[in-house]
Amino acid sequence: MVNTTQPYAGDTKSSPIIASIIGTVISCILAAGIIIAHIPGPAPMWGSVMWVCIAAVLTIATVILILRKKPFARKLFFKVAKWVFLYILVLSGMGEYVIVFDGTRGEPLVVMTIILLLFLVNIPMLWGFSVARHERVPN
Amino acid sequence: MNQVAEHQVPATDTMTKVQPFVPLWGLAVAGAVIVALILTIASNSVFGLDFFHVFAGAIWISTDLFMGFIIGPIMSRLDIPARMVFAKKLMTTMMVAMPTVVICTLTAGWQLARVDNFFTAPYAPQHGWILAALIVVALLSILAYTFLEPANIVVLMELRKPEPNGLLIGRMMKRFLYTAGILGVLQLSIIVIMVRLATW
Repeated sequence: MVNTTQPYAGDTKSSPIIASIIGTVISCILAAGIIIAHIPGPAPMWGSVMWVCIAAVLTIATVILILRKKPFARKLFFKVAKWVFLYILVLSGMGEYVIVFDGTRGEPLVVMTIILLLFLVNIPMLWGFSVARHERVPN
Repeated sequence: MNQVAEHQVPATDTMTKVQPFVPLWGLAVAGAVIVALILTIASNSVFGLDFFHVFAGAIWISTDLFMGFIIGPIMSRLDIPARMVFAKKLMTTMMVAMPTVVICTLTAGWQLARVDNFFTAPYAPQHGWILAALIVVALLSILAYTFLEPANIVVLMELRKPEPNGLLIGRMMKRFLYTAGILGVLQLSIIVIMVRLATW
């Protein structure tokens, strides 16, 4: 039952979903940073791979947390997420284009592509969740 | 109950009218700019890359500073209905302009660093400054993607409702403007780094 007698300022509680996505974004940036910091030389890939694995695990955790969240305005979540996905697709596409255009190949290209894919999944989830969490839906 | 009524601001005619989420002409302009950027990168034109990087970067920095230090204090003094009308106009434009500006600045900047050989010489003296720029950009990205833009979208979605929640909009606008201010300060460090690199 939604309480309408108090002014509603949105969901003000700290959310593990937001924390998990921020963790993913930071992990992705660290993974990319290791490769970029070593350019033009070869970067030690284990550091990047480790951060990418952490980001992947956090992404799976985020998906599970969102699926388990009830009550939750799923329709609104997907409505926002699909448009954000389109925007991030353009952004990631530009990133991938520049990386490939500059001749990056092999393991660094694979890792950078996975990082961009993780961005592509996480940013729409974050923005979609940020909107949907404030929507009051009946239990 | 009065407190509730105060925050449930009735929508005006212009608010309730079903409009596109963002201005369509703006999307067309953004698309044209992205195509021009792709062609510039493909041609490796130093002038074009410099133009995109400097022009878009200047807009990005100026907007962050302007939003954080000029628009922010003004908006905090407006009453809620006025703030909502202003926010709706501002946020829809920002929604199209800022992502385009960010894509142009970062992509052209990366390519420019390649063309200017900042990445090709190992342990070049500029390498540290390039890394510093990348670290600041990473911080900017984290703040923009996790705090600034979600607040922007929450405000936009709320303003499309027949009875927007003024309290939520006020909270999100405050977050948006504070984050824009922090980004503005970080952008000042980017100016220092870029001037150092340009005058090497």
